[in-house]
Formats: sequence, structure tokens, C-alpha cells
Amino acid sequence: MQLQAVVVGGSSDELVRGVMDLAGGYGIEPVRCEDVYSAVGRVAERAGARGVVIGRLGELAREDGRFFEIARRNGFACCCLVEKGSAERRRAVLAAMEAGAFVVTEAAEIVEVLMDFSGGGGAHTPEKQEDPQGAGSRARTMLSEVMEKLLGSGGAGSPGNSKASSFLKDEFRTTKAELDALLGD
Amino acid sequence: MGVRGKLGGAEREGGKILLAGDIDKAFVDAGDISAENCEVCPNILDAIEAASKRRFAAIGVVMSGASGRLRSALKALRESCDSRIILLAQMSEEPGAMRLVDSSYNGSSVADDYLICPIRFSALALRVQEFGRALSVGPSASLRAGLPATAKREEGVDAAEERTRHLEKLATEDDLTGLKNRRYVWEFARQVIERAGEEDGRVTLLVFDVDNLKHYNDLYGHLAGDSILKQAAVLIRRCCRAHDAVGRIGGDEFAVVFWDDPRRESGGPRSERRSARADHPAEAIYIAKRFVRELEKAELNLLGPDGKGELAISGGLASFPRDGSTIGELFEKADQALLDAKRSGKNRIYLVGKPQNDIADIE
Repeated sequence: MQLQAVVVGGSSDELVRGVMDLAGGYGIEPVRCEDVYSAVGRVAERAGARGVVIGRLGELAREDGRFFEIARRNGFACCCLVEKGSAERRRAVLAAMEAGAFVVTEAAEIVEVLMDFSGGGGAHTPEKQEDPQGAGSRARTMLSEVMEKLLGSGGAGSPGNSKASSFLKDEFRTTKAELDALLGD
Repeated sequence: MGVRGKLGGAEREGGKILLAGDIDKAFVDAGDISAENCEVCPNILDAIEAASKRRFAAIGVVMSGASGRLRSALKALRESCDSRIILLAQMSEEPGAMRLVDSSYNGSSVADDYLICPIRFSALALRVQEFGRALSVGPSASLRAGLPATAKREEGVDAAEERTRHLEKLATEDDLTGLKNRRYVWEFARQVIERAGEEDGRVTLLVFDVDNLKHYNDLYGHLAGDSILKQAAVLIRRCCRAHDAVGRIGGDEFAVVFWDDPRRESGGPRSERRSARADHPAEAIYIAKRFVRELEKAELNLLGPDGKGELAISGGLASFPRDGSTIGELFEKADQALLDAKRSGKNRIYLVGKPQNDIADIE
């Protein structure tokens, strides 16, 4: 079955238009969903297919960030763009991270996700992160960078290894605790 | 997406009802609802996923606590399945529920029906059964009638809906004026007061009756009296906002529940202007004064032009939390203010409290 990218957002959204255009170039079938609600229907309908959901964090994290878990259990990877200056991003970022979503801060980074996704054959869906040198590791690297950007230097406990190819569970826990302490509830 | 009616190999649970949202806000017996009868998804996204994968007899969506994207969620539910969607609304949410049922999406509405909560689960199950029966009588009867099965099914559903609507109307409306009845106004006020208590909102109750109605009844007959009541009903409904509850609660007694509808408040309930003098929501006083002005301009139908200015009312206004914390207390206080207004010469609306505040004196 062809890889599918479910792109979430309005048709006038530049990010959505850009990803829709890009996806075809990587052999990925792009499908646009207007919002996270219709995206749920799409991933449920295509459960088990190889796919990735791409959208802005603000949209994908609606309804308490529940979408990330739903996408994960239906075998879809998630990639969400954190918009700079978003005041309510802490909870949303955590929800995304906990469900194994790829969190990026630049639209250009989505290209890497698409490349990895098409090249890795979807092997980096959250349940299948056994390839340390492949897409999963690069996505985790992106997560480290996100944490660094969110917390600034000295935060996250790992400024020196933001490019580290591994992002261990313990480090994640530390990061979450520090994020809680720094940004508050 | 369009997966209506084509669930493929998906699991079938045709007899179950899917409930989405906080069921404690919808059912008085939420704790007793059995998993045999329904599946509960507190998060609407989980409900959309469930509806995409399994077939349900109907989907009940609790409106309270739902985000501002309820319409989008309902559209996604509609796209994901062919089950009937029933909104579970508090009385204060009824205008929104009606809009959703009336709104069109891809040739049908985003929701099929709504029920006013709190209710027992059996009431929802009964409603679902009624639609089920309407659907099941379709094919064989339609063959006898020589009609297409789908047409007969739709006819059956329409008839069931019509019957249900009629029963609801009888239970909640005053048949003379078309306004809500006492039971509805009481329950509506109880719900919005409870909500206002949680959200620091305001609720104002206006109770009024028509001055000298007995005189008109005795002089012109009861049909003339009924005509006056209808005229007063039309005028008060016209003066109030769509989300206010307006009802006839007794012979010649009416009540209006003014409240802060969060969907209409850009700055939240605290943002509403208040009358500094009385600490009542200024908007409620403004509407009451407008009603009085409309009465002064109106001609009594039975008297023709000679009846101009003859139609008058006396009323009392009580506000939560200033004058009482329960619906019973508010009615009692508003009734007392109404009596004071009568004793002071009629044709006026008093605010609760001493010395009496006639709203006509408030700037």
C-alpha cells in the first residue's frame, strides 16, 4: 500500500499547501484533512496503513492532545510544527512527545521527516523505533533541538548533546520534569 | 472521506449507543449505565475513532464541556458513520443544539436530534428505539404500498420525529401563548444558576403579571383575556434575547430568565455591564424597560385604537447571587417585589430590596 501523508489544516494554509506539494515528490500520497477531527476519521479508517500525519501543533493538540495517542495506536506517525511564540505549547509538546510524535520548529524540518519516512518505509512509526541510525534517531534528534529551543541553553539537561543520536527514556523524564519546573503548570 | 454505510470488515455493534463527552453532565443515572448498552468515550476524538470502526445504534454527544469546535467534531462523526447523532444539551444550550440540528452539511444536518438534560439513560435508549422502529417498518410496508423502500423509511423516521417533537412541545410549552411552561422555566433557571455559581456569572429573574386581567375577563369574556395574554407573550418574547428563557408560569403570570450566555460574551461573564445602583445586570434592566415601553405603545387588540396604553404589567426582578442562591429563593423574592409593585399602584417593575427601586428610576 502506498505511503500516505495526512496533512491537517485549511486549504489556504501555506504549510499545508507546501507539504501537499512536497509529499508527491517523495512518493507519498498526500491527503488533506480540514481539522484534527476529520483526521481522526481518516487514520481510523486507514488503521494499520503506513502513514504520517503532519500539521501544526495548535491543531493536532486540540482536545487535550488526544490525537497523538489515537494516531499512534492506528499505526500512524505524527509530525507537528511548533509555532514560535505559542504560549500554550508546553502541555501540547509534552502530549506529542509522550505519544512519540516528531516535533519540529521549522517547516523545513518537515522535509527531513518526509524524506526519512519515504526512505525508511514507515519503519519509524512509534511502535517501531528499533533503527537507531535511521529516521527514528533523526526524529529524536529533532526532539532534542526542540527542547533546547523551548528551554534555552542550560535547560533540558542536555544542551551539549542536542545532536545526540539517542534520546533515552530517562533523559526524557528528566526533560519533562525540568520543563514542568521551568514553565510551570 | 465518505465512509457512510461502508464499514467493511469493521466490528458491528448495532445495538449499542456510543456516548461522547462527560456523561455525568447528561444523565442522572450515569453511574448505572451498563457497558452492555453503550460505549463511553469522554474525549470526542476517541468517539470519532470508535464510530469509524464500529457501528452503533446511535451516538449521544454531551454538549456541556465540549470545546468550541463541536460543529467540526460533529461533521467528522457524520463522515465517519451512518449512525444517528443525538445531542445531549442542557436547557441553556438548547438554542445551540437547535442550530446544529437545523444546520446543513452535505445534504443533511450535522446532528439529527437533541434531548434536554439531565435525563435518565433509558430516555435516550427509548428515543433510539423509536427511530429504530420507524426504520424497521419501512421495507415491508413500502413494498405493499408500492413505494421505494428508502422513501418509506424516511417517511417512518419523519413520523417518529414529528411525534416526538409534539410530545416534547406538550411537555415544555404553554399551549395558549407558545412560550415555555412553568416546569421548563424552573428547570432552566436551576441549571443556569448552577452554572453561574461555577463560573461567577449572573442570572436575573423577572416575574410579572398582567394588570387588571380579571377586569377584562369579567367585562369582555375569557377569550378576550386569552387574547391579552397572547399579546403580552408576543411582546415580551420580542424584547428578550434569543437565549433568554421566557415562559408563562401561571394564569396571568410570566417569567423571564436572563443569563450570561458564554457563547455571546467575548470577554466572559465578568465583562457584562452592571447597574451600579442596583448591582443587577444592566442588560436585564434595559430589556425590562424596553418591554414596558413596548406595552405603552401597544394597542389592546380587543379595544382597537382606544386600547392604546391600556396594556400594563407589574413585575419584580431578582438577581443571583445578590438576592438568592437558589431558584426557589429567587422566585420568592421576585414574587414579593411583584406584590409590592401591585400594592404601590401597579404598572411598574420593582427590583428586590428596600427601599423599593422602580426600574423606571434607573438611568
